[in-house]
Amino acid sequence: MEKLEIVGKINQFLVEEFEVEPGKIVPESNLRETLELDSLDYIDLVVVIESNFGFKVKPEDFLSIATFQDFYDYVERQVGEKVSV
Amino acid sequence: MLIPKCDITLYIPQRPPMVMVDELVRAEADLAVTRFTILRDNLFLVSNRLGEPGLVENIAQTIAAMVGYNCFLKNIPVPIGYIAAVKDLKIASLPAEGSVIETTVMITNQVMDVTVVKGKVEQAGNVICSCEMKVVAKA
Repeated sequence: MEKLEIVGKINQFLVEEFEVEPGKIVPESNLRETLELDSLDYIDLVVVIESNFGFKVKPEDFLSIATFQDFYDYVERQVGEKVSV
Repeated sequence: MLIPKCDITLYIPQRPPMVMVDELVRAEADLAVTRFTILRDNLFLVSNRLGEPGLVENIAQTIAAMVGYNCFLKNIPVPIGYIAAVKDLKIASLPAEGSVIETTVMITNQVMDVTVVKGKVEQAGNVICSCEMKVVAKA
């Protein structure tokens, strides 16, 4: 899966699941603040990632994710690892 | 039927008049079906119909029955569960007094202590209520 395709898919489910305006999704913006995520929203985020990309998310993975760009990079890495296995 | 009405409280923590499931009809590791007859003395009856909180409680107790039954089979203590969130709740109609509802729950995901469950309530084959419920379990 190409990076652009991954970013498009992520942005699409963020808009649908978290009702965020597409214009607010900027790579350098803070993910948690922009989406106004609480602890239960993170559960939803894990669920949509797993169902859309087919890999298992470890909750501690989110410790290193601050911005949307971090999030895109994380998903791209995981998708790459899944393909190479 | 796996568990009849007379034994259901052995598997769920609720006690009358809060019991909102009668029988456990089917139970697997991640799926369960219960049946419940809405009687005149039901706490959640409003204008002779089971109110919305009663339907949500019925789904929650179906989850409790599934967990309780599976713990019984494994001979392990039943964890205490709490409803953390109810999402996408859709209610098409409220069942009338005297009617029988059948409720199905299915675990769709598990993230740390949070279990994500899809639930639906059917009456005479029609889905009258559905939602996604997040339940936190503490051993």
